[in-house]
Amino acid sequence: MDIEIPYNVEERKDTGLYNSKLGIWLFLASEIMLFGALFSTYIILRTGDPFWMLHVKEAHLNIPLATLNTAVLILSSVTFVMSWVSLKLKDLSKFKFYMGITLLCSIIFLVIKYFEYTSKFDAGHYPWTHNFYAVYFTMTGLHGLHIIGGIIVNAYFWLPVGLKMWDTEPERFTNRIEVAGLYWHFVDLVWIFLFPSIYLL
Amino acid sequence: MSSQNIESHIKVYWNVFYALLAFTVLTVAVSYIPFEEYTFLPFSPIFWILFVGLTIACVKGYLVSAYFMHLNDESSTIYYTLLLSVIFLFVLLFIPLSWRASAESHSSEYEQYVNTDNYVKFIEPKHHDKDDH
Amino acid sequence: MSHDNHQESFIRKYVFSIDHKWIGIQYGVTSMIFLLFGFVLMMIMRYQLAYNTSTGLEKDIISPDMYNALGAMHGTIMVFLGVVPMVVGAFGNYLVPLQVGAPDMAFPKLNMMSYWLYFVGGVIMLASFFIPDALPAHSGWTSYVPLATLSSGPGQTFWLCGMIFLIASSLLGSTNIIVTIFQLRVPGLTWMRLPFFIWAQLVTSFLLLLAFPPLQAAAIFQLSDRLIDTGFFNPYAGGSVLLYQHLFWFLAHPEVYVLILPALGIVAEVIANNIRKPLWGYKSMVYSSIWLGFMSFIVWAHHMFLTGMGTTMSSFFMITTMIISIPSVIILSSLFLSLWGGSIRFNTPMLFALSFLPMFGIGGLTGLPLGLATADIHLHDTYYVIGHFHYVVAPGTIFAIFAGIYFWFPKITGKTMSEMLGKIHFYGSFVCMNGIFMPMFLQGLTGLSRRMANGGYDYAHAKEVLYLNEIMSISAFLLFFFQLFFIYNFFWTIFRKRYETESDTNPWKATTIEWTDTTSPPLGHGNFEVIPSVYRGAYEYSVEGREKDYYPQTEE
Repeated sequence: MDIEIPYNVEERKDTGLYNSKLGIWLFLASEIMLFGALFSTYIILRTGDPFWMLHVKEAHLNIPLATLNTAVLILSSVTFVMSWVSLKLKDLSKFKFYMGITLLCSIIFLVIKYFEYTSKFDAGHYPWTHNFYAVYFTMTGLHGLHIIGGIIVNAYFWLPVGLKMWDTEPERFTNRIEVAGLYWHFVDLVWIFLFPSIYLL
Repeated sequence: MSSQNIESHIKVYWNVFYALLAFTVLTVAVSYIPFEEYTFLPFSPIFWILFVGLTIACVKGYLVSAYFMHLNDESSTIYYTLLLSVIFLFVLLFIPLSWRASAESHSSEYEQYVNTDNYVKFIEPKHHDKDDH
Repeated sequence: MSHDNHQESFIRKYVFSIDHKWIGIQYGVTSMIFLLFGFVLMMIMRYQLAYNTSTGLEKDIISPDMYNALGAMHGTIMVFLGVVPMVVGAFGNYLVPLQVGAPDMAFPKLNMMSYWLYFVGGVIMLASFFIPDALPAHSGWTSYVPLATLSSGPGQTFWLCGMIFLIASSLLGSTNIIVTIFQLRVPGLTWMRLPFFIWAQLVTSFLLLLAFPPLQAAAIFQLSDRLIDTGFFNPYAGGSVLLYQHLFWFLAHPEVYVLILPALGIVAEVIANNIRKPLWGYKSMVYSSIWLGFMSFIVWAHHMFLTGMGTTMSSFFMITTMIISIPSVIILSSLFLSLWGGSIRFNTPMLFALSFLPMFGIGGLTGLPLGLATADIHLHDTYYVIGHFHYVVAPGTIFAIFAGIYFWFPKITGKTMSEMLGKIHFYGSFVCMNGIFMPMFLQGLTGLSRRMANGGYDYAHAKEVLYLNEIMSISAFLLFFFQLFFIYNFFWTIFRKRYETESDTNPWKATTIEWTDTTSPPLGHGNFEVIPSVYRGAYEYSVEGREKDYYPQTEE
């Protein structure tokens, strides 16, 4: 029994946007500030500790594995775009195919992360061991939580429970996927900066 | 976006994907370049490592936002909101650092505690054992 | 507009409502309870300050640790659980859709979630009072490290968890308000025809959206330091104490503009309506509020002048702080200048709105020495600061809140509150507010430090001003007495029958959409029988050649 909110689906002429698109971009603007605060903390702590690199060397970060993770996430990003394109072309089965790959990639990302984390724990490296690990676990952990959030939302749209909107309001469903896509690309974007900052630089 | 339009975009999306993969490999490769050995370069090696790494990251970020997120076609409202956050982001990133640079000790609290001669100037040397932590 | 005939369950209609009007009322009632609670905490503190073992009492009524806990929670509750939910959650949610002509907020379900996240955050904060054998958070509302990281008991952990919920709530709410204002304005309602209240809410929401995340990060770091011994803020472990202050104040400075901007919005509406002429300088006020919002992000370190910053940094922040006073003066001056030549009606909402002007003026002017780094050396962390910010928030924002409640009460309930009780409430509160906070400047100028449980009896140089403690405390108790008139008036009007004389849905003869195009209260689903169109600005009062002294926005 929802009230008709204008511009939920069609775009408003003077702003050129529909509601949820503006909403998600605003949310992403605040996420820029959140991850920005984390990056700022990383910079302050790292430049204030002359012994930082010692701990980096000791951590034995698995760069090849992280590079693979980066590739997996970028793949999930392009398959997400393709799933949206499929909806625009009215091809539901293609949508399910691409979204399925996106979900698979996200899960692979988390699994690789799991292996990374446990190898750290096995070597006795915990967040409290040194600030390098505190930063590493907090930043990748918060990023990981965002991935989990994205998986939940994307899975909802992939399973019958979320898919049924396609039959009744296909345009609105397509918009939802576009908006969820924006979130997902942002998560990918954060990783694009996180990966070199933590593993390479 | 009409469907004919979309078809042409599909190629673009996949090309962006390949570009992103290529840049990822590049950024990993570049991290192994021994900038310290290239003494002819102006600025410190650390500057170069950061500069090259972050530039590649920015290029990848641009590709994702412009093409996957359609930021190129997006309305000005979105642009200005994002611009605002990026400005404040830079404020948040750089003010605490400049702070440290401008303060008399020019060093972090940890550095003052640890008393490392090679790195920083400090006001009052503190005599603590290095293996306190 | 669709009409539904099915019955909504009680839970759907009143507990998990997605109607912005009911959610606004939920926010309003909840925040009023928190404001009262915070007030009571303050009264206990003020009793302790006036009557303790140093003044001759046999035994202190509370321990110094408990005093610190009351102080920290008073600040936290008033700011995060009281004022902001009231001015943004209650007034914003209720009025923004109505004033732009929308059937509801852009995301009604998100709106409902934001209220319940606020509620849960509030419960967590309150629960910290009931931990067995332990105090609530007692490291100041600022929760500075290392004191907060090392503080005993789980109280501080509760505070941090509560803040995480409150920040999430604020994020959802602010997104909702911005999208509603951008997207759901009715045809003809261009940007410069918007009521100033809407502009204030828009800028406020941007501040909330962009400034809160660093505090979210700081809360996560502090929680991590407390619970799993990380070293983010521990210098011995490579961390930085100052980092916390940077992250905290990066939010907390814009936060104070969140406290004042909606109040300026409310005052602008009440004054415009009661002078029966247009606001002077509407455009300047709009641009000033945008300028103010932007600048609020680059002044935060004026709270940190005494942390050992270099002269470059202190000059930078001092300059930005001086600059930011300009837009606030422009807004205040425009409101003052608007009064000239007006046919002023002195009803209760107008009395509160008018008194807001000089009170906010005092608050703002006393902020100037604090913004000057050299003067701040003497005044930082003294009672001068407490006097300054309370003037802005207490006879400032809270008076604006009262003005708003008295003003919009007839729209929300269809009944007008008693003028007589309102006037008693006003005059009593006005005198008492000044009685509490004016002496604080005197105390602060002698250097009397804040957050001291015995009121400063150990400070030799504060001896001449200690007698003021008792005067301030008695004013505080009297202030509570005068609030009883408001509380009685509020409930009596709600529960009494509607008089025949109260059938007018626009008793104040206002021009804005919420007054002219809705019933009192507005319709349950969708607010408007007919979607209005707007033809003119929001303050067309006393237009030449017109019979009535007001020209509604939506009249053709």
